[in-house]
Amino acid sequence: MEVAVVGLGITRFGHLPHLSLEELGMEAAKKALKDAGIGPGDIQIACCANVLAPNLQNEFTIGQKILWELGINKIPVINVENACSSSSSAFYLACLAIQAGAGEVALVVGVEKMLVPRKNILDAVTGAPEAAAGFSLPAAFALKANRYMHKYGVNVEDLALVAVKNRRHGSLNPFAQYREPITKEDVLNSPVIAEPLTRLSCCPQSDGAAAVVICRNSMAKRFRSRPVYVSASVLLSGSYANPPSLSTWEADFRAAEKAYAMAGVGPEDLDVVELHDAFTIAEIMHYEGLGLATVGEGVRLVKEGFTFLGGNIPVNPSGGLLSRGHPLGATGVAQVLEIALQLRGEAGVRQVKGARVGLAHCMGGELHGDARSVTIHIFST
Amino acid sequence: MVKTVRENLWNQDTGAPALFGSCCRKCGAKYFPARKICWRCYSTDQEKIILSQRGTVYAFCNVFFKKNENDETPYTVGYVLLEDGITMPARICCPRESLKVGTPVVLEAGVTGLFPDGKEKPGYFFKLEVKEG
Repeated sequence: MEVAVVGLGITRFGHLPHLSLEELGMEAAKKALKDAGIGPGDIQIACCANVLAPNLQNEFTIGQKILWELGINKIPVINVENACSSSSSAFYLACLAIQAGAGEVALVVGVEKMLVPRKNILDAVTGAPEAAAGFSLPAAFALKANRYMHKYGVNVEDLALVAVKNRRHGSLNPFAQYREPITKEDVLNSPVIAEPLTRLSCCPQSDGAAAVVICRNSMAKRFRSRPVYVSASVLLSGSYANPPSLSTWEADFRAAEKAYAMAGVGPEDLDVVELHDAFTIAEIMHYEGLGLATVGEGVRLVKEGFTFLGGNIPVNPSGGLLSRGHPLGATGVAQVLEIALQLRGEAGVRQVKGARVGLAHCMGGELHGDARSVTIHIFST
Repeated sequence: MVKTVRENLWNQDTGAPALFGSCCRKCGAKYFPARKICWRCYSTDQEKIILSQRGTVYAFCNVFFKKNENDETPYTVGYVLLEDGITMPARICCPRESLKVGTPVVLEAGVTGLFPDGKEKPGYFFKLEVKEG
């Protein structure tokens, strides 16, 4: 692709009652512009992702509300919703826009404020038979965990290691919601949400925002920061087979194949990965979808330490959704930002040494046991 | 016990609960709930059918958190693989220790819980199949 990432901005993730949705978005966007060394007038296209504001804040077209406050106006502004992969979908759209020549510099903002009194655990699919039966998102993933454990002989202790790893990584990230390391026993002894998933096996709900500036790659060196290049940008949706697999996300495999072909690399070339660990089981299944492990062998990566910082292929050095937090609309861009930081060599104490190729994977939503959307972005220095 | 019947999901016309789905007249794919367009071959020629009342547990989990204070936890949800060859999401009401992937279950209709206002929530669920004789 002919696109580069040249500006990064993120807020602290967590419970941030003192900041409004607009203030969160503005903080991240301002930081991204500053990092790129540009002003509001330099942005030619903007995509803004958010999921819950129409329900929780009675707001819509939140992109314009944030950007106009910053002095970014008159340009095309696209508001994007694609569940958890909303902002990675916004990033995908912005990459397409740059690639198509619709503009040379674009801003992508992801923002969410979930921790308000009206909020409850997310329903899997309101109004569908799943909801009538009592499904919720944790239950939908617990079903997958049980199916996976049944099929491949994995136990709950293996799954718990994912939370231990990501909390350890998150303890090194000043923007993470949870910064205290935990043990396997902590994970297993925390209250059961939907068996076998305990509270510490599930990502939290969060407030937060993240933003990136991207540009046509030929002009990337004009900006203040060290550029990171986008070598693949893929968005796909699920196929909703019945019976559903439940122990794999078929869309992961298709998206990964397409992204690796586009980038001209394979899973063995990756130095660092951010992926969608909404629940511990999800990280294991995504290892397999991305080709980091063969199907049924995912837990080995975490059991043998490969995906810990210091291992062969560190996964979720930011702490992932489990530790950094999961403000739905901000997560996809936060993942892109972490990979860009790693490839710039600016990730501080959680830096993966010599990282040159990185991948960000996000999955949005759950429908009939399948993924509503999957995004994969591959970056290189 | 059952106070309302939700059209197209189930009824008790025959004195027994029934699941209404659809079958594509062109390719034979079956769906629950019923579809207007076949996801496999895109045909709009769909026949309304009554699905099998029997199946096996395809996947399940026990839910321990309460979405509203009237929820009785733990309760079990899962996918049941019907004899028709398709899965459907459902509440499964069985003793937890007897539940495994592959356990045979049958359809039942009744109260599956309470709404936040305390009113009974009618619906379908699956229970352990009791072998006769």
